[in-house]
Amino acid sequence: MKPKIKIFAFFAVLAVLACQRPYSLDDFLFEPVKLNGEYLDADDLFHDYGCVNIVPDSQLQFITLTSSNENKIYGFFLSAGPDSLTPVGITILYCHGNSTNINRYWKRVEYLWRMGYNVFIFDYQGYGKSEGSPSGQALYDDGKAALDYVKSRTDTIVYYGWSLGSYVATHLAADIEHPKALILESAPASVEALLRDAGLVDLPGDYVAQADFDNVKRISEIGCPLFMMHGLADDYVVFERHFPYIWNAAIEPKDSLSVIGAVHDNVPEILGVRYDQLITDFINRQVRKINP
Amino acid sequence: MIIIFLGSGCGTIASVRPIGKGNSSLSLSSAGPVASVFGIDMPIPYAVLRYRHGLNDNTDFHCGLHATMLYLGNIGIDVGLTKHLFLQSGWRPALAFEASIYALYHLNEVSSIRAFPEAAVFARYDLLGDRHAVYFGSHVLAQYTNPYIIIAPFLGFEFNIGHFGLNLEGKWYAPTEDTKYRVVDYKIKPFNRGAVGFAWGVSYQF
Repeated sequence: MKPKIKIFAFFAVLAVLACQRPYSLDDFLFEPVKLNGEYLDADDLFHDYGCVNIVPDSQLQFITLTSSNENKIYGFFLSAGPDSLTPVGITILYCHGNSTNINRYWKRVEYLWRMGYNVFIFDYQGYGKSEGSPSGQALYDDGKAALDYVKSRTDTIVYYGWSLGSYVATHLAADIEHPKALILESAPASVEALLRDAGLVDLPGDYVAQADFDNVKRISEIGCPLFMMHGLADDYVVFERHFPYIWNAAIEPKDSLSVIGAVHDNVPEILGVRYDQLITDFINRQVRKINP
Repeated sequence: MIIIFLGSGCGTIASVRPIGKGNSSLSLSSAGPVASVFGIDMPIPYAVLRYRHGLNDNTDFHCGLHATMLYLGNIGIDVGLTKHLFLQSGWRPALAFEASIYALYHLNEVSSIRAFPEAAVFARYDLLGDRHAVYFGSHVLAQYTNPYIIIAPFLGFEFNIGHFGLNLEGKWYAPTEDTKYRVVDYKIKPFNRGAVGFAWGVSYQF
């Protein structure tokens, strides 16, 4: 074989190898924990997360959904109580973070339920008891299935995305259906921003991950009211390396709060009762059109 | 979560000794900052396969294929020249200058093409005659976004046995950058600056 042909063949083999993409770092984006027992086990909730389930059985429904790849995913619909202070049919679709499963986020959905909203939370594929394994596309498909379910019950929907869940929330809002409002907490800008944060070098997110996670790109396509919260002491999704990029790309109406002393996972706890006021005021103003 | 740390000089080892006119060598090296990889603290493996050829007695050409990038579905190459400026004389070490271009491309997306110029300066002291050497220097990589300049000072040893060479290096990636809070928890970051890592490389000269 002539040297030029050898060189051409060598690079052709390399190109084929690269096209196969033997590996990506997507798995490192997800930290699911499978659940062998039942959801909301009192001991697990208390010992692992310091949480007690306060939602009465009469207002709690265990929901089974089928994602687009036929895998079963599971969630809970928390119905606002009859004595709710805001007796309107507003449902918050809660897209949780990258870690563990619904149990970890139960305290958070209870905060929202106590404010008087219906809340739907679901586990992505591979999380909790949901079948399959997580991926960027699987998360988006699961979010779509969850949205379809919530739409079957109500048409006044607010998307809430925390951390990884913000990618799902912005995807639903930009690519599927605008909600009445969008709330993002501790949202990363994109996989690309995470890559730059880690490696300092300017490389597209596609280089390492297949997941199409890009809040900056999608936020500019969302016209609904937006409320963003981010801890100034967040040591994982560092405020100045993520928040400004999303915020600057977002279009009006938008509002935000940078929370002094809050890290990645304690914005509601640091805010305390102010968290309730902020969420309620935002939804009253932007969804119910009531000026506080 | 880990993400590769390309940084400056990541994956490559310094070509500390002129290879000689008409001679060639192949080397395989791996380098990266120490982080938790699959639960084990180790240098993040960024591997490079490199070919060198002596253009004359003081100048070598090199080109490299970034194997880790290939594994992730990207084409990553580097090409460049190393100029050996002068030989060791007494306490004055031998000195060399290297200039390279790193070119990276994610298949299926033309807009993903990236190119980074990189330079390195390094000094070498021969040990035990001229078979082995200790060397030190720094890589400097430039890009169009902040941080615009990324440096990586290093200290290394080269051992030669017959046609084979072994290099071991310690590197301090990006010591000018605050790495106290990063998505990747680098395990060795003096004063919360940059990240320390290690490199190894084996080469065969022919």
